[in-house]
Formats: sequence, structure tokens, C-alpha cells
Amino acid sequence: MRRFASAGLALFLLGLALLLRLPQLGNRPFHADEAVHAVKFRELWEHGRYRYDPNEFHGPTIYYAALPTVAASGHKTFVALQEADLRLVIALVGAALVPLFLLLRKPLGTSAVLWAGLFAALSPALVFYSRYFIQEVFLVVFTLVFLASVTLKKPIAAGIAAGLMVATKETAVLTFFAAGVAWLLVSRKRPTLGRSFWLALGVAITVACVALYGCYRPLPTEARPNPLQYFQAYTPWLHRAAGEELHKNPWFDYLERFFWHRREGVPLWSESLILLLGIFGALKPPTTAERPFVRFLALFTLFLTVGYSLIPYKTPWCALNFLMPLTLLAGVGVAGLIERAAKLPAKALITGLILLASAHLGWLSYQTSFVHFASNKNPYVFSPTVPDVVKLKTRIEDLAKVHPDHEKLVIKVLSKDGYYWPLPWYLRRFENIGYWTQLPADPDAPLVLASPEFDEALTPKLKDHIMTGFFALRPDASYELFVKMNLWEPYLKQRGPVEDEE
Amino acid sequence: MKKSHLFTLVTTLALAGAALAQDTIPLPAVLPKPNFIGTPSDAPAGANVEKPLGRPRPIPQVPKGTVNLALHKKVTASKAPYEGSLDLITDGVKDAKQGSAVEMYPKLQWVQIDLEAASELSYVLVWHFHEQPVVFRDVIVQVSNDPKFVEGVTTLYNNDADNSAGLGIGKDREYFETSEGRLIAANKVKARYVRLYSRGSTYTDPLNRYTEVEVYGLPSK
Repeated sequence: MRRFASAGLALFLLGLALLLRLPQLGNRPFHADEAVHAVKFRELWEHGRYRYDPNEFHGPTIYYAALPTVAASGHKTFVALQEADLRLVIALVGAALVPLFLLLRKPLGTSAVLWAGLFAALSPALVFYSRYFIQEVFLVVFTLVFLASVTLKKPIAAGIAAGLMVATKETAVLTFFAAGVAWLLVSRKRPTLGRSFWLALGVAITVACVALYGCYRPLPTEARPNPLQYFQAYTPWLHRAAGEELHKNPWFDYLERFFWHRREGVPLWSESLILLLGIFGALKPPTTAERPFVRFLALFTLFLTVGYSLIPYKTPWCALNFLMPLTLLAGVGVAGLIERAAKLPAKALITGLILLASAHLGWLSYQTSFVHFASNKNPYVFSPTVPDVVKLKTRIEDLAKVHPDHEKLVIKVLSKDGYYWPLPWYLRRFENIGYWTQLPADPDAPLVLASPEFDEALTPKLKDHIMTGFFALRPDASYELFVKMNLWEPYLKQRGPVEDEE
Repeated sequence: MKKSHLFTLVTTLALAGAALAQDTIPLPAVLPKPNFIGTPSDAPAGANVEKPLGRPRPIPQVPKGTVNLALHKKVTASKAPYEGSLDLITDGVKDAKQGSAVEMYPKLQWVQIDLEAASELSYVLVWHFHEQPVVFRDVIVQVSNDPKFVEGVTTLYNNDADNSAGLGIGKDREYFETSEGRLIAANKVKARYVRLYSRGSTYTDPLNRYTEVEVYGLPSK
């Protein structure tokens, strides 16, 4: 295929990817994890500081990457920022994955990577999690660049990509392990660690250290972390890998979730097209593809799939790590199919059928990200924040307008556990807000937001309050809003009479 | 013996002792059969529903001679019923079955019971509709000797937190309807008329419903 034609097609696919990733980025409330990352981003944005915490939160690459896109939004304060402002950088990088597939045109063939680009542009999983302010898409893109750089024998680029993977998410170690074992199995020669390897390793360590520990406004000496503490991160993550109640899922969870998910009242979700074509690609690649690399890619995908499936701790976005290489294999599969078709009409028929099936993938993506984005029946949705949280935010903001201290009024949030996120994001404009996971000695405040578990103990202590209603954060987590009567009365007066619902 | 059982035993004995000493009896209300088991854990959106007790409600003591003063008494309403007769509210039938509840039009509506004489009241017990664990909105119970409820009005219960009924902000909590009904203390207030407001429920339609209302007190001499 001529170079300008493939560039044109890649641009078209990029446009398609952006079309599904950019619109209505704020249509879904922030997931708890997104809110945590937003608050971590705030520290970097407002104070130029970042401190790696091995216990939680992963690495900072998305925070640094969000700096220019947030600057472009024109907002000057954290309160003014909206969900879409932070998700924008993920959407752009998620779309960039599609043209970046061209980096592998040499070992896989241009046709294969363009088909893979089409699948990546339309895949519901890759679209949905490209609209999520979390690290996974970054890890996947850096993985692609790493694999391409190693294949193209570019040690510095490989080192940079590997360093960024490490600085993005601790699970990069699974990718390195899968890639290493696959490479060992495919390699015919006895593996040696040459100069290129050590160069790449040096660059990777430097990049990771700079990203993790070198924020542009240095931390006070006493607050500077020990770089070796990165390895401490694996202690809590290994513990979690065994599976907490919330994240514990059977081994086949990813397979069921992404390849055959049937629930009443919603479409049958399935990315089986990519799976089947991927398997075909692994077994019957076209002659234009380098067999060893296809074998490597197949083993790499298999190991990651098995690895992530065997770990009881599961969050659905982790599947992107094996869905991305699977998408590449699917592209290889289509190229192989078309090559095997003897005559032009057969080639045209295969092309037409796959385009039709791809359109269905696109339709599923639309359903996932724009129609059923908050539904528990959507397999891509995980512990979603429900739109009720926006009502709660509005209610509290309206109450604050009536209170003499306005946004400085005291709010106490009493939660039965630490899963009160994303409240700190939605209530970010309030300076005097505190969070407790046990009943404080003095729970009194103009506004008290409490888990129902505290109701019995709290009600007698809040004699001057009225419980005004339940507000849900997630389908399984609600909070009761207690308002002091001397605030509730003027609020109701200012709000005016409520219209009867028919 | 478990601590809670011991506590119940001691309380019962204490109440029994007190009853003998003060000439009181347990509230003579007979509860209908439950139509469902348990209550939902999820509160309906926007509601300030209280947590269900999870065990039978304790039976309060009332003065000896206390009866249901509302039985077969005349009922009036803000509007003629949509379906059924107002007599159903005081006919003594409180089972959750087809035709046992009168259906009132949507929006804020009231029903009013004329006890025919001012009496000392202990409790009002109301069943709106207990076929399902629904929550009724703006439940307000008032008593008065004025049939128009302009003068001498005492509010016994009000869970209209946002004052949407315009009768004042109520700090009482919303609740799931069950076969136990809602028991509302009248605190020995003396009154002839009992008025009950509601504004639809979380049921599938916006109608107001009443299965039965009982008003316990001492008949006037």
C-alpha cells in the first residue's frame, strides 16, 4: 500500500477514534477512582508538587499529561474544572493509539495494522476507558511504543517507554514479565543482554525516577520519598491481588464481560469479533507479517490474558492490557483472511463483512459510552457513581448560598468506610469540610452527610437538624443529608413552593 | 440468656407492673396479616425514610377503657374518592387485599374522621396501603375540635420535610408501609376531628390510598 494512502487511512481512523472519544466527556459522573486522581492532580497543578505514594494511586504520568490540556481549557481554579477537562487528555491519548499502530507496520504489515487501527478506534472497551481519568490507556499506549521500539531496535525509545510504563502503573511489571517470557520462547538464539539492553534499562530507570520523584517544585527535604519505596508498592498490591470483596471476581470475569455479556433490556455486548479474528491471526498470519513477531504477540497476549484472569482482584479496565495486543492480532487475522481469498470478489466480500461487523462494534461503543454509561447492565461500567451525586452537590451548593458563611460553612461527612469518594471532588468548593469514618464526639455542623449506619446514633445528637433525604453515590452506597433547621427554613423560603408531580 | 432477651423480659415485667399500678392496658389494636416479608433496604430517591425496626413494634400501654373511637365513624375528604368509598377507612377491615383501600386523587389530599365528640386520644394508627413496602409522601396527622381545622389545630405527625404541603416543616421521618401501620402518639390531646394528609406515594401510580385509620382514646362521658 502506498505510504500516502496508508497515512490517509490512519488519519481517517484517528478521526473515527476521536469521534467516539471526545463528545460528551462529562456525561458520566466521576468514578471514585477518577475523583482520587483529580485531587492528586490538583496538588501538582496548584502547587507544582507530586509525591509518590506506594500504598495507593499509581504513578503521575496522567497528572503531568493533563497539565497542558487543562491549561487549554482556560480554567484558572480547581473548582472551575469539570470532569471533561480532565478526561480530555485520556481521550486524546486513547485516540493516538490508533495511528501509533503504524509503528508496527514493518513486522505486521500495513494492512494488518490499519485493520487493527479500525478495531481499536471502535472497540467499546478502548473507547469507554479512553473516557475515564485513570491510568490504563496510558499504560497501554506506552506498552505499544515499548514493543515497537524493541522490535525496531531503538533502545532509547524503548527505555523511555518502559520508564513511562513504570511511572504510570505498577502492573507494568506484568507486561514486562509476559513480554520477557514470550520473547524467550520465540527467540531461536540463546538470549544475551547486550549493550542495547543496558542502555534501555538505564534510560528506563532514569525516566521512571524523574517521573516518580522529580516534580518541578521540589518537596521539602523531610517530605522527599526514598526512590526504593517504589518497590514497597507491591506489598499492598500483592495483598489486594488476592482479592478484596469489592474487586474479587472469578477467573472468567474478563472473558464473560468483554466477549459475551447478555443482560435483559440492553444490547448483547460482545467484542468476540476481535477475539476470533485475533485467534485466526495468531494461527494464520499473512505472508507480509513476520512470523516470529506474530508468535511473540500471540504468546504475549495469551500470558497477559491468563495472568490478569488468574488474579482474583479485577477491575475491568485492566483488560485493556491484553485487548490492545489482541486487537493487533485481529488486524493480522483480517490481513490473513483477505490474502487467502483467491479472487477479487471473495476479497471484497470478506472486506465488506468485516466492515459491517466493525460497524456493529462502533454501535456497541455508542451504546456503551453514550446510552448505557451509568447502567449496571453495561459490562464496562464498574462500581459506577450514580447521577444522584450531582443532585446532592446542587442541594449542598444551594444550601450554602443561604448560609451566612456561604462556601465556608462547616460540612461533616461521616462515612462507614473510606469509600466516600468521589465526594471530595463534587464538594471541592467547600473549604471547611471534614471526613470521618467513625462517629465523632461532636458531629454537630450546619450540614452533616452520614452513612445510614450512623442514623440511630446520630439522630439523638442532631436534635436541631432535619434529615432531608437520601442521596446515592453508587447503587450500594447512600448518604443521609442532615440540615440544621435554622438553615433549612430559610433555604425552603428562598426555594419557593414545589410543584406537584402528576 | 442473651442480654437482649433479658432486657425484654425486664422491660415487660416492669411495664406489666406499671400497668397494674396505673390501671393501664396494652393498646387493643389487632394487626392485619402481613402481605410481604421484610422491607427493602434501598430507600426511594429523595426520601428521608427511617430504618425499619427489624422486629415487631413494642405494644404501648394505654388507659383502661381505651377503644378505637374511629370505628364506623363518618369520614369526609378533600375530594370525592377516585375509586371506592370513604367508609372503607373506618370499616375495621385492614387486610391488604383488593378493594380494602379507598383510592383518592393524586397531589395533596386529606381525609377527616368525625369522632362525634371530643375525646382524650392516646394513639392514631394508620394503614395507607400495605400490599407492598411503599412510602407515602407528606404524611401529616392533625386533630382539632374545629371541623374546618382553622382553630385549635394540633399536629401529631408531620414528615413533610420540605414543607411542600404548606402546613409547616415536619421533622418526622418517612417510613415504609407495613401491616403494622403507623402508630402516632396523640399525647392525651382532647379532640373531635382527626385529619390525615398525604401526597401520593412511591407506588406505581400517584394516587393517595387509605386502608384503615384507627383512633384510640377514651370515649367521652
